[in-house]
Amino acid sequence: MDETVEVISGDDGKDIADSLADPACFGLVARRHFDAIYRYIARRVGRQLADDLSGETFLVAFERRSTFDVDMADARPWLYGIATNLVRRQARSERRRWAAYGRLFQQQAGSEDPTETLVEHLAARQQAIRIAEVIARLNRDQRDALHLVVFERLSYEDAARALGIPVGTLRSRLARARQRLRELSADFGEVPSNTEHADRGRS
Amino acid sequence: MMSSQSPWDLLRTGPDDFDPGPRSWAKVEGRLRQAYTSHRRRPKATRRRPSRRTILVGGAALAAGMAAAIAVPLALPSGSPGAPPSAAAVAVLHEAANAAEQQLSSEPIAPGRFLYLKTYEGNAGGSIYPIRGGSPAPESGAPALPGFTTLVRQVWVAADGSGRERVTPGDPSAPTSDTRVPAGTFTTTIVYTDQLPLDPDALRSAIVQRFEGGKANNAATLQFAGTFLQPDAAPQLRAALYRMIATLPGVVSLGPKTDVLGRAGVGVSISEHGNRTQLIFDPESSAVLQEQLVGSDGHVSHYLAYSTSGIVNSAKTIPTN
Repeated sequence: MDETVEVISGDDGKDIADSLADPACFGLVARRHFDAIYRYIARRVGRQLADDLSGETFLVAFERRSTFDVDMADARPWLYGIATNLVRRQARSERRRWAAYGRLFQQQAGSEDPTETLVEHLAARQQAIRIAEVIARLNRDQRDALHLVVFERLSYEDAARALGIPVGTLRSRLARARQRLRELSADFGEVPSNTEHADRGRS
Repeated sequence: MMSSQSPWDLLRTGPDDFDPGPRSWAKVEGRLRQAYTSHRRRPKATRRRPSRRTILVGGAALAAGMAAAIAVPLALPSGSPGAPPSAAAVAVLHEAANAAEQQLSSEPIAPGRFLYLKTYEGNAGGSIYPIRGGSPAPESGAPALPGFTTLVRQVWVAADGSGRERVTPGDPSAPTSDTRVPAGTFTTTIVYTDQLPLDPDALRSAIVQRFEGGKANNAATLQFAGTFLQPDAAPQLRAALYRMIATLPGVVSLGPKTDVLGRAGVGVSISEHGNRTQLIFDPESSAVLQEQLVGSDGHVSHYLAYSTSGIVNSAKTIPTN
């Protein structure tokens, strides 16, 4: 359902290696992944902060590019890791945002034609509001894991790399997040697992 | 389509729009470009950006007016960010608004047709990224300014925001990129301007809410207004945009200015952290000619000049006028 365009295809590792001699080559990596990183940040802390934090993500990445393993063709886990660290500093904003999803969805509902709004959609929206409220109460580690795997659709391996933790630790954090979601809200369906459809596409 | 969305899909899509606008990427581009520059300057102290004199001499090789657009007066009116709009700026902006109101409405983009827009862009100090792949560029016609990386951008926009974007670098040895884009990509074009209010205050509020994340930035608002002031925008909207600019705190008049294509107009400017966002337009026709950014060093660091526009029957044709 992603309607993104692959603006520039290529090998992140090679471009980052090239950027050590010609800094402008880093722009290829930035353009390739900007939309995805922006959406990740906006989803977590809102658009108001997304401009600044997405810019900060790529500036930090640029400054630290000499530490990137240039044998890796995909820099997304690395960039998601930097973005996650920046988002963590905004934990209060993030919790407020997720807790306020109910109001935001209600605003959206107010602009719709009720005769065209399906009952199933209304039910899904109510469930989404409840899930958002629970996500707002997850601890930081669980929320990071849930976001990267469920919303960003990273594989377990890539999400673990982004967070700098072993895959086993990531799995246990996800399991605890799922358990917490089940305890707090029983009827919104199973938390999606991304292991079977890891979206490795670029955006 | 609604019934197929799970609550998790809804959360992933969000109650509001998560897609970055062009302004978001432009900000990152600008910050990265500064980082590149400082990175380059550190190891090589001898490398420096072209001096003011170099730019003026280079400009003289082109049209004299082009140099006038690039040369920034040493003593610009300094509208502080919170200051009320200057009377001269208000007068010239209202003149453009009145001119727009006298014009006839243009037809909306019909299904199967496209709005064609051609712009000339330049960035001081090199491109944000090297363009690779694609076919060798033909003669682009982009002004060759010393120290600037230039390009010609042509877009064909359908009513749903899909279309085609072709970017031809000014450097003839560089390849052209040519991309088809899906619906919703061109989100700040005329396609969406019919959703904007016509009351200047409401218009300003809508731009801030929708495109600036709710956090008002007068320089950004001026830049968005420039984007929406495209030739095929509804005359009432164009008038409202000029009147809205006239309300922005800190806006000042630059007097007569000439754009990089040699067209004469007048300029208005807003300062932000030492940088100036400027708009050059023709108050008699209300046509917007060029947007530009001037750095704290007084040099133009970016320009975007609006050129040809019109409605065409396919994403392969250009207007004949």
